Amino acid sequence: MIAAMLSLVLLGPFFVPYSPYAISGLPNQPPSFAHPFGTDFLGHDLLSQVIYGAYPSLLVGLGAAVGATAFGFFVGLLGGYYRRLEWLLSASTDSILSIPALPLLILIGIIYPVNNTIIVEGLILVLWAPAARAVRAQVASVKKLQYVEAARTSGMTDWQIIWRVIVPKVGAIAMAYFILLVSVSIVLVTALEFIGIGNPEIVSWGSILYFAQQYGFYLGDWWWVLAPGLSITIVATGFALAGFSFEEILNPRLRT
Amino acid sequence: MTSLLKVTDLSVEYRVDGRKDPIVALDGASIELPEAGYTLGIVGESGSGKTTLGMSIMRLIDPPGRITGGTVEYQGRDVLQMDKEELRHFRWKEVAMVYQSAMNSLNPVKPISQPIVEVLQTHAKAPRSEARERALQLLSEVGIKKDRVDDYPFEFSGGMRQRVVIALALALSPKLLIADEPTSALDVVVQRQILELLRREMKSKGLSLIFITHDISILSELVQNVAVMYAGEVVERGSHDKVLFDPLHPYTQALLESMLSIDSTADIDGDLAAPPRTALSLEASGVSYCKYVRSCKYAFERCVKERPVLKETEPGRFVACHKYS
Amino acid sequence: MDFLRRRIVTSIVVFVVVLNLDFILPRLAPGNAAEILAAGSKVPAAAIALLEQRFGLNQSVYVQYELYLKGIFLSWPPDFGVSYGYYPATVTQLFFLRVGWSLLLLLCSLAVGIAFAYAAAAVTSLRRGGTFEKAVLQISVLVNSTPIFWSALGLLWIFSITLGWFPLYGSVSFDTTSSLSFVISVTEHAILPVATLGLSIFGESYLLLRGSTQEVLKSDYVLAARSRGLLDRTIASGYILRNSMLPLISIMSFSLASLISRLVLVEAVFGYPGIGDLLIDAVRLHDFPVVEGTLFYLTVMVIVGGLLGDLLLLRVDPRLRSE
Repeated sequence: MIAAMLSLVLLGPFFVPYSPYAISGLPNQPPSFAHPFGTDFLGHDLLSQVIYGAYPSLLVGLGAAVGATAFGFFVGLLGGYYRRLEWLLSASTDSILSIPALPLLILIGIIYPVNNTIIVEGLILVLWAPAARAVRAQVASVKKLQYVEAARTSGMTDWQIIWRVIVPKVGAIAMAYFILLVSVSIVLVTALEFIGIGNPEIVSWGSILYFAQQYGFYLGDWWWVLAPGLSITIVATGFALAGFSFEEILNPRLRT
Repeated sequence: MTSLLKVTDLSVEYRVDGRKDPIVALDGASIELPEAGYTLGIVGESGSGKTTLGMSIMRLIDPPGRITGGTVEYQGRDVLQMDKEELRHFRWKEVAMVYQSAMNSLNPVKPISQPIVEVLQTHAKAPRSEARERALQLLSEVGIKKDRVDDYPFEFSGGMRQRVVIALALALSPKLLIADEPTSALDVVVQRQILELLRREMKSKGLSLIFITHDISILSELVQNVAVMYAGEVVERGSHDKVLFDPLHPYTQALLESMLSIDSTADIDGDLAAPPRTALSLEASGVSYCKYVRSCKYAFERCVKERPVLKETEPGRFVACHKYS
Repeated sequence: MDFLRRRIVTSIVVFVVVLNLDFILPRLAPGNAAEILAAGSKVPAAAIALLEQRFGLNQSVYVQYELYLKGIFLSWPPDFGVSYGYYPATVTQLFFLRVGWSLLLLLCSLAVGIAFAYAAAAVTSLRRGGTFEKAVLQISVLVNSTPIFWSALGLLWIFSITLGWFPLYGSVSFDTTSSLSFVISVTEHAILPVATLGLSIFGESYLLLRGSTQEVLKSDYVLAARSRGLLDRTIASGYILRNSMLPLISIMSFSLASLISRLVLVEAVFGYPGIGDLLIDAVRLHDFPVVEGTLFYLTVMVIVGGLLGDLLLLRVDPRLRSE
């Protein structure tokens, strides 16, 4: 499912019938043959918009997920392995987790000049915490395994132990979290754009919905909302399911 | 005169995922408690069906388990045919049970006095204060002090929890108590105490008792009669002394031989008799041969062709073996 | 008791961290503070002056920090400055004016979502397999991955725009005369947002609850309770409910922050005048004080909510009392 979506996204721009920025049809048209998804209030073809809009949303989502997982992984690793650092880890993750994500991101969005980088950074700030938590838990349980003890007594340095023994085991769950985080960050990004943070000039799924709610929705232009929302849902669900399956594979106990 | 309890030909099976044939836990088991105050011990290895038998008497067999045949007559009424309300009244008022894992049979989030108060309120319609008074009384009888009565199960040791469970079982003064390995999870010292407690209570209240265990040695002071189970059936039943000192069924004999006692005449240097092979409880019910045939040293032709049934060889003495018919 | 102590300490630490974060983040941005803060908004000059004074925008960071802390701890109600957009209303005033509506939504949604999740969990535990269970499972997975603002839009469209059953926005009509019509109007306006948020909560809790109730139903103490001839409803409330609730309470305490984010989105779509709506407007108006102050208050709400959850857990699960 993800593969289908991805290929659509990657190849899409080459097949776009109309430029999403050019006015190509009559405004506020319901879906028709010429414009399968309909048009927006200025006459832009929505199909093209949706295809083009995939880019920013996905890119930011992926970027944020990568950053968050990397950072979270690192922190979780250290916090899990070094007992002394653990309180620092818990304190910081708990703090981040107690802050409602959206309001925080809104704060950032207001203050800083908004571009994709800022958004990615903001998302990373919010998302690293759950990843770090999961990693730490995993590290803690791996640490208890006997062969870690054996490695320790055989004189391996801490760093060696971490690299050779712990990382392989924990890397797997980090992957699973990464996939899940992609799903979450895509939803967050589009939510932000929907609210109006981010550059509305750039076509992205969230911004399409932003305009939709402002201008067409209440007049009954249902198609305007359907397409981008559906895309978000499908992609997010796809990643989420993939992430869960991954987790299940790694952790046979989770299989119901 | 109707018996206090009469289980006839009870069969229970369990359906397990991934297996085509169900596992047979009970295959035509029968026991009888003719009168009040009758005490019966049920012995057998794990898998022999003794726990299932105990649970069936109170009709506690849940899916994937199923009672497939037989009757459980309590004072003439078939428990298996009772409707929901009848059953609810029957449970605990007439027959109560003490489980093996009694530790876990208490609600972890409520104080230990609570379940006793609960049954008193539900069955005896006692108002809260009265119920509480009675609960305190019962608990002190089993040795739980007043100041601990509102503590939670996890704050007690295993032995103490077992006492609570016994007090709970006796709360409504049932006529029959079924104890399923109540002491297996306890150390020997505590075990003694609990058995003492049980004996005292039974004596003072005139209870009937079914005591299920795999440990024959603890039965002698507690029960007057013994039933031996093998592969879901009762293969021998009679008075305690007769069954344990003059066993008739080959399985009973082998079982006893495998235990050394202090005054045994067996040669200490000699071979210890091997415990009898465990029966495959997977065998479908209604087979036409004796299930013990593979390990039996007296087996003869008839044993493979015909299934033995419990027959009364002398008054009060029952054996299911072709040797005696 | 140690459990509670630990939790309180953690909460305090979190509070301190957030306090500082809320201060540091906005001031990290490059550029002249005053300009940035006023950028893009139609702020009256008087407001700017006031804010400069309040936030010490033209002074050193230390002074700003001092002012910040003083504003929070030394003045009552805590002073976060004056809103740009709603000048001269103060941030605190705005917040408390609207928080009531948000709490209404929150509590109702929690009640609805959890109740339904419980009901579904109970039914599917008792009747394994079957189409009902599969359907509910699909629904909860779907709900979990659908962005809440989209489902909100969807519901809004179906029920308000097309069918016209419910009002389009707001929390209550202006023309209510009696208290009865007030209540009715509030309910009318609240149904869709509560349904949306409740649905999201359902998605979150169902799976958890199902696992938990299944485990409880299989437990020894439930079997023992049945063997005692207790009434079904006694067993249901005292044994099953009590014990299956426990994991839910602890998980819920964790997801409070995300709940608030979802609330913001729901209010945005439904135009519901709570704090979420306040934030949305603040975005359009570039109303920095509002955002800073609201974020702070919201986080405090999350922390307090978490502690309340822990207290509840302590009361229901005695095993924690001696950890």
